[in-house]
Amino acid sequence: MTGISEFMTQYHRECDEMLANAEELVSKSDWAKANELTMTFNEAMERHFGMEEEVLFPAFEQRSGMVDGPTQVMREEHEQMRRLLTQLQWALEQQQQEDYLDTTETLLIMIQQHNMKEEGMLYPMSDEQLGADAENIVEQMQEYETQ
Amino acid sequence: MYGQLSLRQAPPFSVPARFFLTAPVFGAVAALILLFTGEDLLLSRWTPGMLAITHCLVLGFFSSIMIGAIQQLLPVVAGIVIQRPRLVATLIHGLWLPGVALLVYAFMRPASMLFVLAALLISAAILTFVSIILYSLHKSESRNESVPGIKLAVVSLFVTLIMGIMLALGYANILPLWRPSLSNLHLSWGLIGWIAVLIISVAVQVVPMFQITRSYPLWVRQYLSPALLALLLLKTPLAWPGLGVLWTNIDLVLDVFIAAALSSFAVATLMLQKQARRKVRDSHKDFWRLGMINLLAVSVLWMISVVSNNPLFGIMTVAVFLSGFVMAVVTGMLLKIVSFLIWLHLSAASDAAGIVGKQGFRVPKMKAVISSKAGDSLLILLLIAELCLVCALVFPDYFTTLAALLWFCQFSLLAYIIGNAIYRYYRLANKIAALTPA
Repeated sequence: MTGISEFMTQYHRECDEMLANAEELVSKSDWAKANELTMTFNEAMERHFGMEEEVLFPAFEQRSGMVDGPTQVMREEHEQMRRLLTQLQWALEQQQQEDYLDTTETLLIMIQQHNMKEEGMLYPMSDEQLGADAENIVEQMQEYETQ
Repeated sequence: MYGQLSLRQAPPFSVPARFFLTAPVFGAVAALILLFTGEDLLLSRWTPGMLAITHCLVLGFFSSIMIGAIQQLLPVVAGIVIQRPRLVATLIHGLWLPGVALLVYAFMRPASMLFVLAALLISAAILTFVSIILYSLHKSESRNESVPGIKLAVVSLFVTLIMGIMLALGYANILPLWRPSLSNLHLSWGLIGWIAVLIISVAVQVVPMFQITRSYPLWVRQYLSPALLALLLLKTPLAWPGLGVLWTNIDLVLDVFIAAALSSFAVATLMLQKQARRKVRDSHKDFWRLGMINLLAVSVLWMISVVSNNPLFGIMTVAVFLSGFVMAVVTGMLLKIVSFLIWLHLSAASDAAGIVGKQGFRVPKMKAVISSKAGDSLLILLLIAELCLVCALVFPDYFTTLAALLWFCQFSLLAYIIGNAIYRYYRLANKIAALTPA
């Protein structure tokens, strides 16, 4: 049985790797491969945000009664990351290497500190709060992923 | 149940910024003391100049940065927000700055009153800091693996403070001066319990985070910091002067264990870095590598000093620990933290003001705040300054002035880079405020 923490943390690690690889490709000016990977990365991030915003956060909010709390902060940070992803796309289209690498640097740290909060607090809390339903939520998120 | 939990991003920028801004100034002062006192300073641990510059560095530079950074990290690592963060920072910083300055001055121009006053101010600052942080971490529900280590480091800071007060009162002729036994203990708790344990605890999160590496092995994440504290606790009663040879030997064995523990952390870090997924060249990675290589050198020098009984190796151990290991790690972290925080705060401010993308206004991203070149320059300066310092310990007549000048350049450059970044932050923040529709 995969808990929420395990499932989502794994997703985080996969996205981390994609970003690191895309960054490397751009640093070597391999724009074709970078294009492909950045698109894949972008999609993966959006799916992950969707899983949280549409499935996990509502379930957590309902069970815990905390609507204005941690999940709200996470949603706001998703927006910040979405904006950086847009800037990443722009830099890619213009083949602006410096700008792209500047954006990956900032995006990376933004993502990491966001993940720290999720993995350190939100996911364990969700596993606890949702208890037996956690498995259900993971399944729902997996379904969302394949949509 | 989770009433206290807050994942709100960060305290106001001025909270850590003030500590980061004043820190390099103390470093530059340490360099100037070395420059104007000259090679006599390096002759022994106990020269007034040596005491002054060690405390200038450990308190004025390193501890300032760490105290500022911990206040910054709390929401991210522990999900806890300090209430009235600006007031707290002002209180701590306002006591800390004059306290450390007075202490450094007191070492150079000893006077009872100065030591007592310095001890009072520094105690007030540290007690405020320690109590707020421990209380916050205690309330925290976080599973973050850095939290236990940070607690231990902060407790060690408190223990180091107690011994520091006793020593300061010794210098003030109010208490006997228990040198070298209490000084050695003060040194051990300060360098290992406070500084090394904090670096290890932060590394556990930050190295995998910033460099995309695997996690540290379990023994580093969970057992290393408690083990170091346990060793320090065991060492503490053994510092009592006049104990027999058996106890002195046991103390040496404990030192060997501590050195082994620190070395194994260095090796673990280097191995993680070797397999890092993030391949792009970044001075941050090099700062960590340099720091770890220095940490290995520290263990070797320490063991040589234990075996050879030559005080020069003892001084060199501490010099490499501070100017190599800690300097590299702290500088590398500081550059990333400052540039990220500036982007984060300006980004949030421009969002709130609703001017994202308007009027050609662009929030600078990290490399635009602090360039890669800045990091590279600091890395090189750090390396040559350290090498020069080590040479100065062996050949004081030839290298002292050069070491002091290089140190001064290093800290001045850091002060300029950080100061410039902070200045631009406030300029842009004001611009955003001016552009905000009423």
